[in-house]
Amino acid sequence: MLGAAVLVIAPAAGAQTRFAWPARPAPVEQYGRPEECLAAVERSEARAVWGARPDTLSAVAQDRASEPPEVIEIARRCSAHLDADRMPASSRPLYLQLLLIAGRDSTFAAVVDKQVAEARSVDARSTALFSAFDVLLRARPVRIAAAEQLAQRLDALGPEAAESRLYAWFRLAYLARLLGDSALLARAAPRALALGSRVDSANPNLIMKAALSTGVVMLTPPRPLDVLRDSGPDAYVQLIRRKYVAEATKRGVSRDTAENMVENDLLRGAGRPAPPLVGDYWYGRSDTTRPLPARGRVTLLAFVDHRCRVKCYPGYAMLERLHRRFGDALDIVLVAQTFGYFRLRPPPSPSEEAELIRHYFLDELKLPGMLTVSVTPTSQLPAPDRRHVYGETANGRSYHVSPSSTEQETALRLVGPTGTILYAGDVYLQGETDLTNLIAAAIEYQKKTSASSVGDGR
Amino acid sequence: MRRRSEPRRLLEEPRRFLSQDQCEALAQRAMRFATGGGDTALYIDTWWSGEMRWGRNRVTLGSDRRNNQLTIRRSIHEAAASVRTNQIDDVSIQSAIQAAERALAYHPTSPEDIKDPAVHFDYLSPAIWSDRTFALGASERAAAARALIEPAEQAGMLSAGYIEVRGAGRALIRSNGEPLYAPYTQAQCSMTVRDPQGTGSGWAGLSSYDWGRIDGAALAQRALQKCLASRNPVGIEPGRYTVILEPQAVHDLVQYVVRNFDLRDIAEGGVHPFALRRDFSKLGLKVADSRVTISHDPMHPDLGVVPFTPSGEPVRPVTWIDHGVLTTLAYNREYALTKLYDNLGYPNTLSYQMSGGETSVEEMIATTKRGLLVTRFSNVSYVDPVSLLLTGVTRDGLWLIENGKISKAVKNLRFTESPLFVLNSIEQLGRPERVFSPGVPAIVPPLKVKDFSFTALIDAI
Repeated sequence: MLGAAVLVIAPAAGAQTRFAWPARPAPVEQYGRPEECLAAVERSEARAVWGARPDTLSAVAQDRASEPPEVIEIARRCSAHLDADRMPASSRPLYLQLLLIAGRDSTFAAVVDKQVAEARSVDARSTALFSAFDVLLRARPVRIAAAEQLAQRLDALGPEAAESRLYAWFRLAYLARLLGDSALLARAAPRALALGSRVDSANPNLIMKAALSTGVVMLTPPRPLDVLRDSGPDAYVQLIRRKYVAEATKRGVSRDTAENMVENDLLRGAGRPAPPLVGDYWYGRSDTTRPLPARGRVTLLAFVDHRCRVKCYPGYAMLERLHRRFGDALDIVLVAQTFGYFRLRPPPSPSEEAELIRHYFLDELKLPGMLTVSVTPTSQLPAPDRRHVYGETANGRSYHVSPSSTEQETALRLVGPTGTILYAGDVYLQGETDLTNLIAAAIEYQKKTSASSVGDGR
Repeated sequence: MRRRSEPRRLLEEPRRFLSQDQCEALAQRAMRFATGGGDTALYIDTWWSGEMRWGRNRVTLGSDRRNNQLTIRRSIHEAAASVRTNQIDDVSIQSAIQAAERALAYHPTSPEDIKDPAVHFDYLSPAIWSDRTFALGASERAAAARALIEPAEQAGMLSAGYIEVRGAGRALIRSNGEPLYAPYTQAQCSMTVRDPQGTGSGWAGLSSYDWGRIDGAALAQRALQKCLASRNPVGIEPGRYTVILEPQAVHDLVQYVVRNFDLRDIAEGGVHPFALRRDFSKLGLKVADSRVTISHDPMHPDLGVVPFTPSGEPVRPVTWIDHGVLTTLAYNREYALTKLYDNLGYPNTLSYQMSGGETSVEEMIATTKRGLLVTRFSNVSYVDPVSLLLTGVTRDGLWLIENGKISKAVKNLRFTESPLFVLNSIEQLGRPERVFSPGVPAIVPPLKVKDFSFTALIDAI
């Protein structure tokens, strides 16, 4: 008997040496309530990978993904045998949600129609329609067209459903702005404003009234890059300054503190006129009489540091990509300084170090653009300390760049065609798209203004 | 280099550790397995050791051991990783190199790993080899142990001890630098004598590169006398006492100061015994009594060390504390180049010499109204590494001094004290002498120190 038991157990023990998901699927066909089905959806491995369902309109606007196939399959199998007539009213919104996950939009519409038809009052019909409207806006992908149809059906209910109609159209308008859907915005925003102006003063929805009182600004905010393209760098910097101050004050920060934060931490000199670069050695620059950054040109200053080594390579690759993308339309200037040594060689003279820096950046790394090298003023502490201490270079002082930061990461300054600093920050790969768009807008403005000035000249 | 100083005995067969030629051949073999470019460096510690251990007057261990410790360092494109092995066959070396190359991907970059033109340094040739040490075979070691045991046995005491002699070679062979090799010897002898009732314990020990400079008979007598004199100790209250620290006891404390001469850039980081404030060390400030100078000269006949560091930097004479003023903290070549525009660092070999005076221990005792005479400390550990506060216990002989004379043996005490406090509370200094410090020779004086803090009574002998 004992021998038989060992024979039976041995294969099972061997099978557990490697972890695997259970081969048997969850018995969703046996679930009787939509809550259980939605829980199965949330538990599914696919849901864990794809992330939770968006629950705000801004999240909806950013979430363009469809439901993963595994999730659709679970919802389809689980919803197949459910019957809306046999479930309590509180479960029906969840059932509607499940139907949309399963992709059974026609069943969804039929269930909603039946609910509306069975409703005995305008209020009940309004509730049924708005509840379905809400589910449509949170579906993945968001069903805007169907939601707009329900909003129109709400309109048909008349003044008794004013609040639901107001919410529905306002949400559509807001979502349209987030999605950049100008056609829908043009349809929804006037409806929302019109309904908002008729909100009964005896039953005011203060939040909605406040939102709608500034509705025009909220619904069509200016986009910074559009401002840069159309109105130029100064207006752009003023706009982002206002925007960040407003956001900070909204968080409860005082206005003075917010302005200081924006000035020192965020903008770091952006908005100010760019001082001319000075350098003791120049490489790759043919015209030394013309000051840099040049007026009428978009210039990217990259404060490079030979001590940074491989940590800075991603940033160098970004410079290369920007050069490939914009070519001659973008001036790239590498701003370097001496430190009294180069790698682990004995201390060279400033001219030798400048040559080593040139060789490193332009020959070895083949970085695009011009290179300027400033000799860093140093002083020596008395014995026995004897350390050499760096002073500031003129470029570092005027652009607020310190050697301790460039040793870790290349510092960037983007100067617009009017000579205004547009961007002051570091290289970070997540922001490469933003920086590229910013440069593109600045170049577009520069081309537009140069064309108009040529036209004026004619 | 170092070929001219290779000792005659090394040429004899069979070899007990790898010669320079063997190390270079080993490196050539290893470098063939490197893939992916970059540089390869082999740091080889190859040694033979003969030892003799005894307890309760009977030999318990006599052995000859040998080993090769090979550290292979691969550096590619500013990142470096190293692997250590003691297997020097082709398959093992190849797998070690592959392991280092795999590990490279997970290592941060370092300026030290930047490939640079080979730099030539002039290395010193300290006295670190002794034919006499290398020639001390098993029978000689047994005879030496017997000579050490006999006095204790004749006196009816129990002794335990350890003798070790070592012949070794240290090599650094790099694909982008000249090969370095240094043969050296080490010898150490220490013994404890206890009475059979377990009421007294005495200790003596000494180390040197040269077995001929260790007087075994004197050590045996010293340990025996301390044992006899320390029997039947009485307990005293802990507190602050004037203490007379024998050289070994001073070394047990001051070696923690010497260890903390590493590293200057850490001290400038702000949290370090020699940090003044953020970005500044205590260089140039007085940190010890004006009579204290701590230095190291590798060419001193008793302070020789291997003349290069594992990274190939030369060891050179250094004065850490000059008449109480901190004058140097250790730094590497990278620090020297980037901060001082100099080409050479000051490595800390941990070997040191502390200046002394002319006062004998007997004179110190005679001038002490009430105090303690300490043979050595044991189980020393940090309480606070920043203030260098240490704790540990006295061991193998502690006596009470009253009215200029040793009055009685006392039970061991736990101390809680900083060696920096000790170096600032010196009353008298004696003549420096070699102490037991295997591998890192030290020359230290006896000290008379006031207000030394004992915090607990220890009942163990």
